[in-house]
Amino acid sequence: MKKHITIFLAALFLLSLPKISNAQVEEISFSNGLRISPGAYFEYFSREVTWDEKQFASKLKSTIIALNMEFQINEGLSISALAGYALSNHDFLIFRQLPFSIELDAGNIGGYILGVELRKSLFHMNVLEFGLYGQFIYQLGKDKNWDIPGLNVTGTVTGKPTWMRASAGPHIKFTGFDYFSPYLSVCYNNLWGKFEMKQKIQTLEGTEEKELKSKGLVDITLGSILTLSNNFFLKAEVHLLPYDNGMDLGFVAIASFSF
Amino acid sequence: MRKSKIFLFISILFVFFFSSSFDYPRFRKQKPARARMFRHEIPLINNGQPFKAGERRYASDRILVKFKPTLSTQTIDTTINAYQARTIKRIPVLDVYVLDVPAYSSVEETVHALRLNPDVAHVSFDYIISITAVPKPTDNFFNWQYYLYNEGQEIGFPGPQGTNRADIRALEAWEETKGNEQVVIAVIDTGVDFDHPELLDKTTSRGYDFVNDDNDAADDHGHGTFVAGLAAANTNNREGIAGVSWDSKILPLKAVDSDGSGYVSWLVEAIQYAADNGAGVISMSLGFPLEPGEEVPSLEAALEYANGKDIVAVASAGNEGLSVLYPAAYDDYCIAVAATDYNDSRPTWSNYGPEVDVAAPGAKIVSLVPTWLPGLIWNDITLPPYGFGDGTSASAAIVSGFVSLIKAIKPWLSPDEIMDVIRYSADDVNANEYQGKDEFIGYGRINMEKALIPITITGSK
Repeated sequence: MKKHITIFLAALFLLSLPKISNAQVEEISFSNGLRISPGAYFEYFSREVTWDEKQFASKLKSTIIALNMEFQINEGLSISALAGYALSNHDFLIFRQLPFSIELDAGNIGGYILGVELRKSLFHMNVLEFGLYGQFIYQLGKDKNWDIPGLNVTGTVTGKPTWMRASAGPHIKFTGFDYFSPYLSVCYNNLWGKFEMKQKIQTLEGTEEKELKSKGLVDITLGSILTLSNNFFLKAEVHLLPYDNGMDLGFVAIASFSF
Repeated sequence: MRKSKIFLFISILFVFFFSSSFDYPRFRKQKPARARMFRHEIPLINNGQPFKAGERRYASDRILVKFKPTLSTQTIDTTINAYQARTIKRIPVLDVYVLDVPAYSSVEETVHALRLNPDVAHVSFDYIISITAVPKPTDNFFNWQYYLYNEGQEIGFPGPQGTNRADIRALEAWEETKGNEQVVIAVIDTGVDFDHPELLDKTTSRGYDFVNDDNDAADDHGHGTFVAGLAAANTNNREGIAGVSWDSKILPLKAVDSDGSGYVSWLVEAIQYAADNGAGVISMSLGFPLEPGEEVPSLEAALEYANGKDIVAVASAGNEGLSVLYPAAYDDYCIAVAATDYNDSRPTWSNYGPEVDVAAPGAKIVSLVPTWLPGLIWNDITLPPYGFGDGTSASAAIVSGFVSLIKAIKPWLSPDEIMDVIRYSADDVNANEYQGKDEFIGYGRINMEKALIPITITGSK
């Protein structure tokens, strides 16, 4: 993976080299008028999360499908709102505080997604655009019930996951091509949340809340914007989140139509 | 000539085979590739039968009385004198008086008279408790502990073969916990043999002897050592047996004398002592019957007192094939434990009734016997004695170890919650005959794996 990152950065550097020699910092020229770009948002990510005060770790995997509405307030500033649905997989979480300990291996749990994203261009250096990027996503899981197998009486557990993700950092975009704009950002990216599990077996009841914290906090994003027409563009991103002894991955695809 | 030699050889074998039922020490090698195994037989106690409650049901000269709290000590003394009784002792906290009734006045009349006295909160006979099993000693090893892990192996040498996995799933459960020494099991019984290698460093103190009223609960019978070993013998020490809870400590409390019986007042005191001295579990492999209408409020109060201190009480159902004994029959405060065997069947001697919560193996159970019983010397080494026993005493001791494992990893659970965990995780091994909870094995034979190992939730409801 490191090799790929190196190649990508080297290519970006070489492409920008001729114009960087004439480098001059340009003020971003703002144009008036609001530009709205509705679109479809798809994301998949896998994050190593720790729980029980970092004693244990498991993967949170989530697939997000959402509607994305980007408001380009002026040429250098855009804010996107996100609303949709997510399927999150919290398998291998273990709840030992309940009367009967529970290990989750139940697959995806649905939940609602709300998010906001901000991009701000700060300045240009020839074909390179420097800016800031920030995103906040909140996932509110729905209650999901499961029967508890193996006991001699009936019992259920009800799980409800909630997680949030905040990301912010600098952003460099290569603008040397007409229809293709690769970019790179290195962000602080934190994910945290909780998983509430309730247990009810006859008169026996218990509730356990599991605090989740992402292990890795740095997100290296490699992406590109493909402009298919004046009004339609595609965006694709690969997220690399290194942590001790591993690397998390994520993919984002956005199709937007602007008017 | 050759035929006569063969005949002689067969005759010797025949005599040797039938002599195995006699009571003399011997040993045989088994599976030489593994650990050396020895057999040690010593005289059987109680003719090898599960111990049953005695015929004499209560003391002829002792009763238990609790006076209403509004009464002064002087008034109580006056009342006691009025009945020509004498105070043997007052059990503090519970505020129960153990009274000596003179020979010329029957306890029945005195109890009847006191029940009519408006100053008396409750009164009962001092029932005679008895242990509910006696070990049949012989030597043993882990692979004879079918109740912990049953592969259908031979139990004893020779012995019956059990059914594969007719056990309490100990190996699986120990992956989650082996207990911890903060959880103390109060074994209320005949005391323990402090010199037994399997109990060295396992007791919190010398305990208390309520029979002789001193601070030394040494075992002068054998039953207490047997049940204490089942609950928490030294384990993984390359000798003897494995306790259900490897790391728990034992608080020995002697409330049963060398004949295997005692007074319920000693039991009441022992329960209270356990509650006040750091016990997390009270193991009672003993009991006594009560007729309909009879009650012992002070015993129930003692159990309630212990329950209020987050102590789980476990008691054996009894071995008469009759109704569940007390204290096991106190549903609110006690787990009543019946017996199963190496095939997950119920022995006919296991008591039954609606109070039975669960069952645990109680037939052909191997555990410790005191070192002062005749031991086997082999290669100049005196082998620590072990033996086989039957009875719900063993079942209750196994469940006591189980409770201590739960308390070790979930100390926040209340006694009621722990009792429910044990009930609901049991395997309904007689479901073919009695679906669900029944009077014979309650919710079923305990399954420690289900109670302790996280249950995997898969798929959607």
